[in-house]
Amino acid sequence: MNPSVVRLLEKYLIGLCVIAVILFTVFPLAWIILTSVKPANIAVSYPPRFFFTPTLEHYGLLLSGSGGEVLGKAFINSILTTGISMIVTLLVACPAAYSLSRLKPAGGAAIVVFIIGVRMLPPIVLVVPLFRIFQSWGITDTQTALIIPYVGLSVPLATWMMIGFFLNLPKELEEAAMIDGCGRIKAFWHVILPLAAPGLAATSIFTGLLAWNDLVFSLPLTTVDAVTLPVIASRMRVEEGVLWGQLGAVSTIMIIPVILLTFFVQRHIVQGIASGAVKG
Amino acid sequence: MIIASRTVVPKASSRRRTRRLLSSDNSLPYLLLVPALIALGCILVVPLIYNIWLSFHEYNLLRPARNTFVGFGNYLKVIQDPAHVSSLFLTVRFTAITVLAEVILGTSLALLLNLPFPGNHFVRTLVLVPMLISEVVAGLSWRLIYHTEFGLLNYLIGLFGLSPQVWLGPDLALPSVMIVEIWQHTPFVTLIMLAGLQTVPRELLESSMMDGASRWQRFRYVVLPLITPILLLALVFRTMFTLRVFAPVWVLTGGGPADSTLVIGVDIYRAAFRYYNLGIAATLSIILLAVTLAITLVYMRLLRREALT
Repeated sequence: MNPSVVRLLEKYLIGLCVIAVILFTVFPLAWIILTSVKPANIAVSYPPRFFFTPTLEHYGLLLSGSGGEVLGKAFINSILTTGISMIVTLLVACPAAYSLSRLKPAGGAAIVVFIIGVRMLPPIVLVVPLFRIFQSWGITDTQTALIIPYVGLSVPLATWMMIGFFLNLPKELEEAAMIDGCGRIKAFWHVILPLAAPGLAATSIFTGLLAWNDLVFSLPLTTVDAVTLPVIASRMRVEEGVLWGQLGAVSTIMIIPVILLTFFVQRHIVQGIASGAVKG
Repeated sequence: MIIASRTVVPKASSRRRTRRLLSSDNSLPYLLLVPALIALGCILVVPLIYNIWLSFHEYNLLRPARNTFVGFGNYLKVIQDPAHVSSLFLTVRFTAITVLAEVILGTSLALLLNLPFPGNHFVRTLVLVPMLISEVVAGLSWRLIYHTEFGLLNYLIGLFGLSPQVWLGPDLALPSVMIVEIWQHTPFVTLIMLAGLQTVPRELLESSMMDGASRWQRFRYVVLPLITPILLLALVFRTMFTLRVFAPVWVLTGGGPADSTLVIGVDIYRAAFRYYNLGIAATLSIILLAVTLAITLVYMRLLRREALT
């Protein structure tokens, strides 16, 4: 065959593959988002309807009345536990990562091995003991009961990622700052931390996603007051088909921030996974 | 003179201070590590030890009076109970199949996205979305698609004249759940493999092309050996995380129907929070941890051999 024809065929084949990949990736999510804006009478119609007048009635139902109270509370709980876990994790992990990457204390290598090692621990191993401990403290069904395990699980990954980012910064910069009269801490705060901002962003994203998406801890450790969005979504009884519209609405509320984040800070995510996973 | 000596003295002391700080032979490095070590110790290590302790006790919240030390009694009970044994084997099978599919699909996808085409950057970002969203949402989205009466999948196969299936019924539930798992986590492999493909030197590919190597030969003999360590790493991570799978199974089937999708993660949750048998739940989670460690160690050995050759 003519080489130019082969090249053209190849081009179409690649195009087809890419389109298939996009469809397979996006369709399940697009479909549930679409369901959330369908009028109740056609949300679960058969055959499925692709064209309709969009409505926000399911969002309205969720946000009003008793259902709305539960969802509103879950939304606030999700944001609070995610936000606080993120901040506490960074406050704990950054100093540790700085120490391990720059100050190289004796025994540091063993600590790094320990940090990588605990990442192998399946979170579900911690659920039963933490459940008993929190019960005896009387803090089950509080945001604290969720923030504690989220911080514990995020610190190893966050420390590991930040070590990578700190190692990539030129050492001369902070030395220059210190010779100019800054102390270690001041140099860290004014020179290192601003330079490591992309790393901080990537690290916060991963910490945040862990908390925002978690079901393993939030399902058993919360009942009423501290429930988060994944718990609400997993509890909705939908076999009858009545609630699919509202379920779509909850799912959409959970997906949209993540999709926006993905596109705005895509480079940080890629960098984060590359440093957090590829390097070990 | 007095003024001059005054200006000299602080300078000398500050220089000394700078040197001391630079040599960092003080306690600062250790102080900075304290919060992280306390967090890891209290939140990960102490509960782990407590879990091991629980696994050696009969510990049922419904019968608190009978909480006694039973040695390896719980472990014996677990390996003699066909339900737990089959959940363990199911988990291993589930992991093997999904991880293999993720690695094959993920690598192919990485090779595809590594080609230049318009909108490449956008597509690379788009394919990341499934791995970043909640497993609960992934499970729910697919449950809507799998729905027997008004699901999209039955509608689509109906267009080709096929009769509707009960996708989450006893026969098809396991493969249906596996597809969701593969859909959600293939992007992770793709992302890592894309990073790996960047490390393949362009000159090497060009020179092999000059030598007349076909596309497949170039992949098999040039690219593949170079990316094998990264492929193994993706394999380690996906294996580690799939063995503990919980949320998608919980949302899609809850482990049913008739335990046909009862992976160990769901089994642990059920033992603890439906039967309140914390002793058995702790035992099952220690077994999960042991399996995870064993498989990871095997991979690590492979990785090291790979690094040596």
